[in-house]
Amino acid sequence: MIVYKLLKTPDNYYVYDRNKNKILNISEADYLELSMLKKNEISESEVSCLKKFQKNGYLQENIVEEIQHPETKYINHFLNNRVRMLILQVTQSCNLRCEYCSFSGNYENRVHSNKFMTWETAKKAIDYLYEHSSEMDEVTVSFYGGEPLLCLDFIKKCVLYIKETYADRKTSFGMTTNGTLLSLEAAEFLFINNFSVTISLDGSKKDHDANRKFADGRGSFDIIMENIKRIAEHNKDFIDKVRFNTVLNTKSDYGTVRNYFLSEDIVCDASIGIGLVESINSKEDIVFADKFVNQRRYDFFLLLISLLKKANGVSLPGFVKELKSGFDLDYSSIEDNRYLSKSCHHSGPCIPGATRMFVNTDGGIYSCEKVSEYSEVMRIGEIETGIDVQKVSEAMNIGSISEKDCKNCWALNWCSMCALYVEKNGQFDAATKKANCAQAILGAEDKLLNLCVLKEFGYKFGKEELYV
Amino acid sequence: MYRVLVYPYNQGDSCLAEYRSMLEQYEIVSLVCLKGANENGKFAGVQKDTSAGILITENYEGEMDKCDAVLFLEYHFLEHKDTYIEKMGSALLKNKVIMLNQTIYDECQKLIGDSSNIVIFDNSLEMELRQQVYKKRLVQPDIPVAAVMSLGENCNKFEAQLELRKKFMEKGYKVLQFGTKDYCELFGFKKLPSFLMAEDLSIVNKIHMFNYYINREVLKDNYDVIVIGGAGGILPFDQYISNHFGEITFIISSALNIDINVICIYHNDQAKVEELKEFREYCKGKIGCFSDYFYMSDKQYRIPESHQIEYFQLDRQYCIKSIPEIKDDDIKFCHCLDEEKKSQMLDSIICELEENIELV
Repeated sequence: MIVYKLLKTPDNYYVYDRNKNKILNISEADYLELSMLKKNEISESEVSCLKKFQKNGYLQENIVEEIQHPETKYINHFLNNRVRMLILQVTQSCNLRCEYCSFSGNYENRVHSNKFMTWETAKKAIDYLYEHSSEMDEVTVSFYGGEPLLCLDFIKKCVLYIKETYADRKTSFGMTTNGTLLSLEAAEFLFINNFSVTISLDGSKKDHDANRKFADGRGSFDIIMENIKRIAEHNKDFIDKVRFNTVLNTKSDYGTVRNYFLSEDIVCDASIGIGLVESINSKEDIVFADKFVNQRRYDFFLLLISLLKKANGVSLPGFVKELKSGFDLDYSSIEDNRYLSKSCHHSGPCIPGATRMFVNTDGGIYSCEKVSEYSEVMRIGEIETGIDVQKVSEAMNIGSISEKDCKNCWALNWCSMCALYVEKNGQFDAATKKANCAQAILGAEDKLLNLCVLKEFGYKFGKEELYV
Repeated sequence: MYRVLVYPYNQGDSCLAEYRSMLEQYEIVSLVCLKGANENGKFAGVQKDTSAGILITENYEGEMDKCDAVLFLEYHFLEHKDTYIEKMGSALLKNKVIMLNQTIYDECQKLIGDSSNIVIFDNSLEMELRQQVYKKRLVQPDIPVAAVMSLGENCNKFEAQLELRKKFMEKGYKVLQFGTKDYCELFGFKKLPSFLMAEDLSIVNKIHMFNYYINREVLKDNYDVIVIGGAGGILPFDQYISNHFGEITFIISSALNIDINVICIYHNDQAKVEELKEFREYCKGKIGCFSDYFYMSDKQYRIPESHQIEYFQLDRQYCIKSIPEIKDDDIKFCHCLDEEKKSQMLDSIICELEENIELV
């Protein structure tokens, strides 16, 4: 069996060869032949164009025999020597009650509580990180909540301990905060210690306050802006380094969000991360209005034509412009000549516990902050006893539960599914994975089509920055 | 005999502990790591199961009294420059000799001042060499040349150089050697000359200079063999990891005919004879010499999507269990953790040279 994907733009025909991870520009006749082969209307021997492609090494027989993460044999090594990032959930408590928050009660994975991490747990987690990262030139310690600034003194204690005990180890610090408790004192501490700070801000007051509220129903926008402006007066450098994170949700008006980030002085030059409200583990279906979808797609269209230099005078917010690097990265992965081997795994999974290690207030170790804290399979260890290698192996080899499908799936190199998308009710579930596969495959197809279209219209994929 | 404290000790310089019996006029008495480093509290040399019996510590001041000299390694120097300067100052105050490379010295000279207690480990040649080089012809020394090259960085290359040196010396041969670490001098040989890395010299000039330099050094004593470590890798890994396009190994192999070339390769439990033979052919084309000897490392690398290469030291037991079986008449192979095979391979190098036909 030959594994490929046919793609078509208004003007051209393409075939994506999975073995080689390359896209070939083909004729309409070749496209039709390969299309018939795909539908089993003809046999391989009847496809006349195959010979010329195969002569050049393309469209060869499927070589994948086994679905196994390539780093599986080095799991122990990674967990013992290459832990890269520790995320400490210093508290599950928060002073806000955002409607889409994973702690809001609208999700299966967690609820707000008044749990705070103990110093013993934090110290053990910190020591664990440094004892298991001997080969890392730099490690990251990030503070997460709830709202981490409820525990500023605790965080100060952690940072001091790290700086005293691991003085010569290069450490980056990070924090995601709702910004409501960002006092001058807090900002100064974060600035001095070179924290990467992300503030959650969903756009204009109306968009932000629609979800991000205090328990009494008041919106949090005004107080965040007051904090930011006050700090900017004293320490503009700190504010210039802040990244904002925006969650587009079903209540968002995309037009006002994008115009806010385009026009508001304090944020228009800032780095903005944008994402859709999490649908995994949500108790309700998350459906966006057509208007929202269309406005977003139109911005995407504007981005494409601006990349092709056909959109003079069009202004795009930073978070849309940032998508450009994604195209360049996707294209570079095609340029990389990384061919499939007999034993491989779809892209998506990291090495849980090494790439990231999320430690919750109870001392449970999880692969990242997004996973369900109630899930048995996602709890990959305890800070008291360490990480369960078998659980890590299962989480990074989630392709094995759909091995037959993955072996023959054209999107193997472009898949985005990790264990997060496979877990249900505390177990890895083949049906859940299959349900999420459709989305991952669509995403992969979109990426390839974008590359084809941009290439067709002469986009240079990152080369202009290098040569012009 | 100098008693030496090494700072900052890290796994990448484990040769200092593992091969300490080969040190000439130096004795390693203390290994001090960076504060908070994972090595703290462990014994040096664990990987090779040849525990040097030296406990690695982060207590620099506490260890200072045991030593006469402090060897400063360049490991992460720029990130910890202030700490280095503080520690150098402290050593000089206590009248200790400090040994460092040219890079560290150049960066710290103003702050630590001049002192007769500062020893710079470098092979920066007299400037006149540049003028003395005549590009008329290349001359091949009258003694055999053995080279140790590698696929890339962090491939146990210095260790292989020491193993080769040890074997030649055990057999009574006088070795003229040039190595790839700053502290070669501790082991009684020189570091590769620094002009090889100079940015203001053409490759052609470097080739002629190296040829001239080696021939001049050969005449200084009755050497039996030359051993040269080729810094860096032989070939680029991909379009991002260039390995300097194998510049140094190209210069060395262009300047001299290499009689024996040992290639250090990364650990690979799937390695096959055919692949090594293919690589042997590649070397023949790329650097113009046969490479029949393969020395497998206990290190591995990976290139993640960020294209920043990452090296990792594999677990000893894992390595030992996964040494590939390589049996072939033409290819000589050993793994760094397999002492028996290693000795056999080194013996066959000596044997090959001893059996060479002598020409007048």
